Amino acid sequence: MKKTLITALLLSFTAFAFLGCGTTASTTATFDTSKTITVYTRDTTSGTRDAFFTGIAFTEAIADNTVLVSNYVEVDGNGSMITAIQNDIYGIGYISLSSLADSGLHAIKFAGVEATEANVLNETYALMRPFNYITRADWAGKTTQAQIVAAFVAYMSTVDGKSTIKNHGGIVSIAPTDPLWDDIKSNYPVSSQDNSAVTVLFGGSTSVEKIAEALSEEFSVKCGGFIAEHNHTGSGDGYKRTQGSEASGANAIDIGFASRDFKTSEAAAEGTFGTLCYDAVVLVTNAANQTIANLTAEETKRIYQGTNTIWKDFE
Amino acid sequence: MMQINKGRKHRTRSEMKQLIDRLTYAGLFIPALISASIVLFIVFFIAKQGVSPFLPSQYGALSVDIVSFFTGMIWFQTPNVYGIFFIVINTVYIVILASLIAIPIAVVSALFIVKIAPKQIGLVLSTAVELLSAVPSIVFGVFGLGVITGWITDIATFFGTQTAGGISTAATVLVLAMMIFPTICIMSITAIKSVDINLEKNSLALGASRMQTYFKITLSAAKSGIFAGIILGIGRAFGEATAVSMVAGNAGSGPTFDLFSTTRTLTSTMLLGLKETVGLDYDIRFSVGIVLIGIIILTNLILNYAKKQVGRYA
Repeated sequence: MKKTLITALLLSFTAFAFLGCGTTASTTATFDTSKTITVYTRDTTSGTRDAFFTGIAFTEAIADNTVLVSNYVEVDGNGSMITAIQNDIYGIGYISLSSLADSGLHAIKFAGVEATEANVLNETYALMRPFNYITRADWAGKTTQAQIVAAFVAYMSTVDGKSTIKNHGGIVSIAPTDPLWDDIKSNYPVSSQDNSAVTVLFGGSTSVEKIAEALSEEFSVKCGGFIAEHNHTGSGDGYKRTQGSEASGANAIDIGFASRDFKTSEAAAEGTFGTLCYDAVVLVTNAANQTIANLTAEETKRIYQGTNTIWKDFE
Repeated sequence: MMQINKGRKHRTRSEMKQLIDRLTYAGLFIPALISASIVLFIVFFIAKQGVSPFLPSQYGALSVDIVSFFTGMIWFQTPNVYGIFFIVINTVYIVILASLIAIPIAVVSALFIVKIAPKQIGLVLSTAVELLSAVPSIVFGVFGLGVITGWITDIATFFGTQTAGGISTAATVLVLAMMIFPTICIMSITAIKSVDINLEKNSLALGASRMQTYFKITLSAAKSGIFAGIILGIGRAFGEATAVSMVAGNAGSGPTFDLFSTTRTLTSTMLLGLKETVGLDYDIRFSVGIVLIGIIILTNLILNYAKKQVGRYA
C-alpha cells in the first residue's frame, strides 16, 4: 500500500513537471488572417500611453478607455506588455524603444520610418517624446543646492552623464566634442567641497525617474556626496514644484523632470530648462506575425478605435 | 478579629495574587484593544479619503455622482464618471468560481494527508502545502502570465475561441484557486487532526465504512476549523491584487461571464495605474477600497451564519 502510494505520487509529480515545462507560446500555430486583432494598451496614467496616443493624433484615448475598441486589454507596464504579446500571436501593442532589442517582438515602422535611435535623434520618427528637466528660478537661502544643481545640469551633457542616460534607456547622441566631467569640474567648485549635509530634491515625471536616480547616484559621488531625495509624482509636478504654484510650499523641489514638452501655461524662466534625452514608442506584434510592416497614424488609430478589427484588413 | 492591613508595609499573599491577576488582565486586554483599534483606524483612514470624490465641497463640479458610481457598467469616462457595479459582479463571480475549485480539493487533500496517507508522505505533502502558502503573490502573477495563460490559450483553441493570449477570466480563476488552496488546506489539516478519535472509533464500531466515517463524521466535527480556513481563503481571494491585475486584462465595461474574455476586479482596479495618478483618480481608488471592505465584511457574516446552520458534532 505504502509503496504504490509513493510511486503514484512520484509519477504524478514528474508528470506535472513535464506539463509545466512543455507549454510555450503558440508559435507553431499557422497565422490565420481572419482572426480579430487583439489590441493591447497601457493603463491611463502611463506616460508611454500619452506619448503613443499623442503621436497618432488620437488624443481622446489618452485618459479614456471608452473610445477604444471593446476587446482591448490593459496591462500595467512595459514588461507585462512584452510578455502579453509574446503569448498572443493575434495581438498588437506598443512598447518603449529601449526595451525593443531584448523583447523578441516584431517592430512595425511608423509612417514609413523605422524605429531606431538614429531616426529619433534626427527627428524623422514621429512616435517619440522628449525627457525635459527644469530647475528652480528662485534659490532664496539655498545657494549650495543651486550650485550643485547647476553642476548636475552640466554633468548631464558630459560623456559620463550621457552614457548613464543611454544605459538606462534614454536616447541621446554622444558627440566627439562632448566634454568629460573631469575636464569641466574645475568650473564648479562646489564639487570639491564636502556636501554630505546637503539635500537636493528631485521630482517630476515617473518615466524619467529611473534615469534621474541613476544620474543623481553617480553624480553624488563626484560632487561631495550630497544626499539626493527623489519624489516623482508626475510630469505636471515638474514645473509646478520648481517654478509653479508649489514652488515655495512644502512640496517644493530643486530640479524637476517631465516626459513631455512644457506647455504654454508652464512658462519657465530663461536658462532653467532643457532636454536631457528622448524616448520613443514602437508598435509591436508577435515575432510569428509579420503581416504588418508599416502603419500610418490614421491606420493605427483605426485599429485602436475598432474600425478595422481583423488582420485581413492589413494584408 | 482580623487586623486591617493599612499599617503594614508588605501585602498578603492573596492581595499579591489579586494584583498579579489584574495586571495580567490589563496586559491581555490592552493588546487586544490595540489590534482591534488598528482595524478601525485603517477603515476610518480609507473612508475619509474615499468619501471625498463624492463631496462637492472637495471637487466642486467634478465630483462623482454616487448613484451612478454604484450602478455604473463602465469604469471610467472623462472627466468624472465612474461606475463599479459591473466590477462588483465580476469580483463575486470570480471568487465563487475559484472557491468552488479550491475548497473541495483543499478539504479532500487535508483529509488524505491526515487520515489516509502514511506518516512520512503526509509530512512531505503538508510541508509542500505550507511552502505553497508562503509563495508571494507576484510570483503567482508571473507564473500565471507565463504558464497558465498558455494552458488557457490551448483550451480556447480546442474550443475554437480566440483569447487575448490567455489573459482571461479563466486564468484569473485558476490563479486565485491556486492561491487560496494552501490556506484552506492548512486550516483543515489542523481541524481534522483535532477531531476526537473516539468519534471515529464509535462510528466504525457501529458498522460504517471508513469513507462514510470520514465524510459524515470527521468532516462535520472539524467543520469549525474548516470554515475558518474557508473564511481566510475567501478573504484572500477578494483581496488579491498583484496576481489578478497581471492575468485579468482589465476590461473597461460590462460584467464578464464568458470565461475566455478579459475581466476586471475591485483590487485590479485599485492597483492599475496607482503609482502615477493624482487627484480624483487617486481618491476614487479609496472609494473602491471601501466597497471592497464592505463586501468582505458581508461575506464573513454570511459564512458565519452558514457555519451555524450546518449541525454541530460534539
